[in-house]
Amino acid sequence: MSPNRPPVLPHQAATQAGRLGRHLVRSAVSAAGVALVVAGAMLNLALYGMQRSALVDDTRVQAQVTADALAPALLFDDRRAGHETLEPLQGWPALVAAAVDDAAGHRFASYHRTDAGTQAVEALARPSWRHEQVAVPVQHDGRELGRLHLAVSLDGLHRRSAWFALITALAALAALGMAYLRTLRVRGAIDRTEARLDELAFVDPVTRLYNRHAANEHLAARCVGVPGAAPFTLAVLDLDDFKVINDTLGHAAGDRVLREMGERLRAGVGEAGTAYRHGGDEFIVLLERVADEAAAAHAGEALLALLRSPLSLEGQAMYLRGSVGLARYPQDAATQADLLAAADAAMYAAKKSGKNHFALYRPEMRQPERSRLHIEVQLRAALARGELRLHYQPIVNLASGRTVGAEALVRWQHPERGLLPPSEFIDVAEASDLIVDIGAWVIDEAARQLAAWRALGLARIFVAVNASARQVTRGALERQVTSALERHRLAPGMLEVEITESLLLADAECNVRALQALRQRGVRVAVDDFGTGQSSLAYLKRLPVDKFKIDRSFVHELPHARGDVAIITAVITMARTLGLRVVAEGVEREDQRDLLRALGCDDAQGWLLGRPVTANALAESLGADHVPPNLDRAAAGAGMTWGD
Amino acid sequence: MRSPPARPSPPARRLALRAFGALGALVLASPWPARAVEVEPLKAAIVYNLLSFVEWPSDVLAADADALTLCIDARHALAPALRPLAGQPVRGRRLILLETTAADEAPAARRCHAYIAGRTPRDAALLQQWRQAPVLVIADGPGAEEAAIRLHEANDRIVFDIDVASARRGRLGFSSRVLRLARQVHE
Repeated sequence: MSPNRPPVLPHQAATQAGRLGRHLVRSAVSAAGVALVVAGAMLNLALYGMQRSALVDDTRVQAQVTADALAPALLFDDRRAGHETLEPLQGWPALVAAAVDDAAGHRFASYHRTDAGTQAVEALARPSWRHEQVAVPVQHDGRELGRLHLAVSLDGLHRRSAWFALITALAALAALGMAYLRTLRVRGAIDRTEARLDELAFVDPVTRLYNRHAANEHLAARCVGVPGAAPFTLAVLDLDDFKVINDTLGHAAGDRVLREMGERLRAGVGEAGTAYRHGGDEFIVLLERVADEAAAAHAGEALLALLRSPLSLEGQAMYLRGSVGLARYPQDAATQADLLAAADAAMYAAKKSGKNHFALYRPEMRQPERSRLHIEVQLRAALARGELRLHYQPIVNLASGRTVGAEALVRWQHPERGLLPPSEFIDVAEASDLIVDIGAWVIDEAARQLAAWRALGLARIFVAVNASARQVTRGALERQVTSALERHRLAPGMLEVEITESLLLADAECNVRALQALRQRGVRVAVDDFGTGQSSLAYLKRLPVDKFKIDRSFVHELPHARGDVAIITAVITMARTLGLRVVAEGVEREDQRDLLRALGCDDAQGWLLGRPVTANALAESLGADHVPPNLDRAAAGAGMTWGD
Repeated sequence: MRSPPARPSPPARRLALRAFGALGALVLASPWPARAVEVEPLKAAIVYNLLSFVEWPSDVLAADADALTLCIDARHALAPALRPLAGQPVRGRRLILLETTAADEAPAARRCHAYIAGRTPRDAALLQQWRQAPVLVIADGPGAEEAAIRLHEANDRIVFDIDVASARRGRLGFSSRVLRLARQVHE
């Protein structure tokens, strides 16, 4: 694939390139040709008509003169004089024959050119295409003495007309040739313009990849529905977090990311297929000769591998993440639209199973209720109807083994599909402003729950809520937190806001201000998924945060993965230095917990320490954990231990 | 060809008329020698035709608005043949035949535009008298030396000579077209 070559799509055969220019040249030259032929023919006809009419006029004048001179000869019956009178006519080359008849109609005298033959005299009476005939009366003194007939040859006229026609034709040909040369010059410009138009129509200006339009044309040509059509695989690659980059770093940065992605796809796909920018942060790749599942899976891996190396953005290394869905033609879908929808569905399935995944299409992926728009509409209604729930996963202090807090995790109590995890709907919410409303609800609900627990006299735990990019960048977060704290009369230290590392870094200045405002109110800020973003150490110390949450990916292979151990050790050491707390996520086994404790990690959460449960279930376990049975009632009644 | 007369005409008159209309055709078609047919009507027709090629001084013609007068001695052989031509148009005028007899006075030069001269002494005297007069003198055959036009019979044809010098004395002119037809032209 070459970026600067105008795309030749299936609908454009090679011969069709420059069709506009050819058409122009053809019509311009033929129009000029028609004009020249018509003008030339008119000119020739008019000229012929005028010359012939002039010839007739001349002949008539000559006939009058001759008839006048002939009058005495006729009058005195002098044939010799008659012949003598006609004789000077031989000086007139065009004259074929002349004859004088007397009043009785008898031939009195005649003359004909020797080369014209006697026949010409006899032919005088007959019209011929080679002769023009003129007859005038011979009069004298008011008496008609006879008639003079003159026949002039049209040969000379015809010869001149033929020459003129030839000259006209040659001039027309020359003019046509010049017109052709001129249009050829214009044609170059038109060809270039046409190519440019094609490029504008089919090439995405940012990535220099083919665009959605080209993809549709190309796919339509490939999905012809004929049995035995060449099989291929369609991959949809969607960049995760691209909206965050666009929203926080600006569109120029977003364009750089897209351009880089385009370069990688171009280089990575090479001759094996064609890459298109399908719109927004979505790319599609048509992979030729990838027909079976193994090959498709291999292609999915290869596409994800393109994301692996970091991307330099404003001097920082940044990792792109994306999800890839693959669908095969014709196994998975018979039409272009179905194939795209299938690959899309596979991509969403991949996204749901986590970032940087790919998925091959399975028919069950395309349940209508799972479509984005459907989910968004339902989710909006769910928010209004109160179908969202918060579950709480305990955060345990590793030293004491006590639950010190809980992370609030949103669930959707779907009327038909049951309780849905965030992976089913959060992406949809994040793609729209819905996430701001959901975020507000989460904060308020968490605050309400904290107030309720306080009323029950439960031990003092904090609740961590996840904030999304849109909440932070629109300045909604601080308002939401403030109003929730005020409404439920909570101490700010009861709430903790979790921000992902990549979000924190995306538009640092703006986010730092928002988080500083929160911290000034006493709300703690934790960095979620720590280690997956690209924090620079120098930068970290300036961040207004209280806590790092070590991403589960570093915990997963503990205690055996030496690299992970080293990373966690480093993070903990660094946090110590900066005066921050460290929480480990995804702790599933005891050896992991023990190691983390040994490394000096403050807190941890994970299935080993407690799964996400309802507020009541958490309260029960906390009750058992924190509240001595004999003090239960008193604590609940007094509530004096809260609020410091 | 003119339409034939409705009533029988004398041969001479018929001939003259035909000569007037299609002289050439008649003469040419005639297989007889000129003498065999009456020659006078032909001569009369030639005279009549010649009149149309002669130019008179304008003052002469102005005196007489619409007539051209041809004078002839009534005894002249051509007189009978000329009579049918009286009243015919010549150069937009009417031909008037003025016949004089021996008893009459000789015609005055101012009354005749043309004169058919015979060989009588009176004619000779008259012509002598008219040397400078604008009268076209026509002679039939030899004699009348001063005649501007002289008719001859030659090879069964009637031809004429023109004496331009004689005519010029009377301030008369000839159309060049007719000079070409003359057998002889005397300057």
